[in-house]
Amino acid sequence: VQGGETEKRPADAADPDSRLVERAKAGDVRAFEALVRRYERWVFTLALRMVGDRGEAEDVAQDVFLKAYAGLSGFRGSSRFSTWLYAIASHHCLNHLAARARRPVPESTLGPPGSGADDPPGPIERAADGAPRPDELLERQETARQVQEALQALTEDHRLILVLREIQGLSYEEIAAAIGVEVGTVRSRLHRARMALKLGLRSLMADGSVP
Amino acid sequence: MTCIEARDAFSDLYDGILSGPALTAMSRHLDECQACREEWRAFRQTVQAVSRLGVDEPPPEFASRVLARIERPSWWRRAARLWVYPVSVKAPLHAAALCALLVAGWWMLRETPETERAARLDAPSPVTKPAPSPPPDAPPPSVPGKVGVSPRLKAEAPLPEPSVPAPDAKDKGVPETKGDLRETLPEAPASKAAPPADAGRAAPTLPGPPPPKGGAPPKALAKGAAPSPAPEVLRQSAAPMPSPAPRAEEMQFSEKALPRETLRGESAARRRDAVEPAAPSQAPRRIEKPEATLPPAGMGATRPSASRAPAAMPADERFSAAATAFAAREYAKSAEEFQSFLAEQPQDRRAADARFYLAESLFALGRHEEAAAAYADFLKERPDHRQAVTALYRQGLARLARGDTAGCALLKTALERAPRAADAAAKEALANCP
Repeated sequence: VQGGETEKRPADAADPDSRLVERAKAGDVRAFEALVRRYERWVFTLALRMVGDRGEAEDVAQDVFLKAYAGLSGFRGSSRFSTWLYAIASHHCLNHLAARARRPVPESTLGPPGSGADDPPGPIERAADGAPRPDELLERQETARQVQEALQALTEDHRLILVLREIQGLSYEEIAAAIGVEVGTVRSRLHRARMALKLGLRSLMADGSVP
Repeated sequence: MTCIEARDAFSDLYDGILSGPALTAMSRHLDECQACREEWRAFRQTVQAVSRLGVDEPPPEFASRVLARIERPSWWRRAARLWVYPVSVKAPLHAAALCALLVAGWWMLRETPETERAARLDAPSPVTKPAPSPPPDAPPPSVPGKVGVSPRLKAEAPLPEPSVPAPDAKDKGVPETKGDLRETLPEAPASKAAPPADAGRAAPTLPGPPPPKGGAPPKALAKGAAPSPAPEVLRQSAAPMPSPAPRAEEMQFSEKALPRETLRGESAARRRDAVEPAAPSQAPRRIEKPEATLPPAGMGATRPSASRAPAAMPADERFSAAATAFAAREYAKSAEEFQSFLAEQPQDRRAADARFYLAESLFALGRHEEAAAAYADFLKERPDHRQAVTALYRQGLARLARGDTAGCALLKTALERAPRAADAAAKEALANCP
């Protein structure tokens, strides 16, 4: 079930955020709050899939919105607000991961992402027709965990482009604007990322457990 | 088309970019080549598996925290701002402070005999000696300016004596007043008010499952629930307030009730730290008097508002009432309130939380069958909720408590996901499993 298509992107016409953005630029904090509420799930999801930890992802997502707020006066409206926000979020995630890689990792946080007891299960597909049985539910949670694990094993660039495309549902053009590359680069990088992930999930697929 | 060319074009095929002769060639190749067909299937499954991860919900209070950070600059920025006040602001402030000090010093010296006497007694003063013939040209060298004051000093010297009993009289007065207060306000309200406050403090270190009826007392709620003893005041003040207060409470609330601290971990603790504790409720005295007439704590005492359950309440109010009842361990009331909340606000963003805590309330009441159903409802609606594993775990316990061995599988799976949650209750329940 390809659920959530409607919530992946705002309306395609003119920028639906322009009015809120103008008010926020004029200093209306409530208008910015409305923007935060509109995009918090997107930004948080991107951060979570990139860093792999909910607490850390929340910090990263908060920082993204603070950066956006600080840079709002520089937003000229030449692109959509969502694209601009995605650019900030993408770069901030990559910078955060680079900074984290330079820091020594405390031993307690080592181990495959998503395997800890403290790590809540990732969201899984919601069944359109009735509730999944608990055993199905857990199987899907397990699959989601393994997919997240395979994602974490990719390079940051590959992970980012997969999240932007497959989870956030951005077009090639939007991805190009968000990460600052040509559309042709998006196309080739996305293909390499998909093939790399397929390799990572190969053992899982051999069991036939990926739905 | 070769196999390599075909596999290089998988993404284009998947995204619908392939067309014309290329598409025809690809379909023909996939028809003919079994290996590439297998690869294509695996490719599609991979991409779909990532899509199925879906969008994640941030914590409910996420936006409020962002706003709090925007509206409140960091402490070092505020300190820096204080430090670098412009001279135009600082200079008059400093001048005014200096003037005030000087005036105060002068006034003290002039008006307070003790100070003046101390100043004089520091130096050997001729005033204290009954010298028959003081030399008129020999004023005390240390304080020459105060010679003229000495007669006045003598006259005022006894003054401090009568002023000493005054504080005593006051000291006596205070206990009397306190005694009166104690009489009018018996111990009951104090002890009744105590558990929520204690509970609030204990909560961060002692999260835990609500025990079945008659078991050990459940671990209490987080700080946000502390102001709960003032439901009436809260209702009046919280209703027009759109977001922050209820949201903070909700956040604290939703982080309770994991089987052990292990289910929640560091990230939750960090989130909790990021939120300031809710301010204690105002006007506590308004509450104490009505509660003084209630039976003592532990006898099923209900709050003044417990008996009234109006037909329809604003969402925040209803949720707050339910959360307050849950925090106060009044599970019958919290179950009822959460049920009302869900009936009135099925689309509310806190509906999933409400469903979960409804199940928790029923579990705590020992209504295991209803609890198991409620956990299942919750999981059906929000399988990705952060309390999902907890819900599985408790659903397992609830089923086992009714002798339903289907609970074994649930419990085992939940414990596989959160091994450190294996507490005594879980082990005991698992002992009955095949």
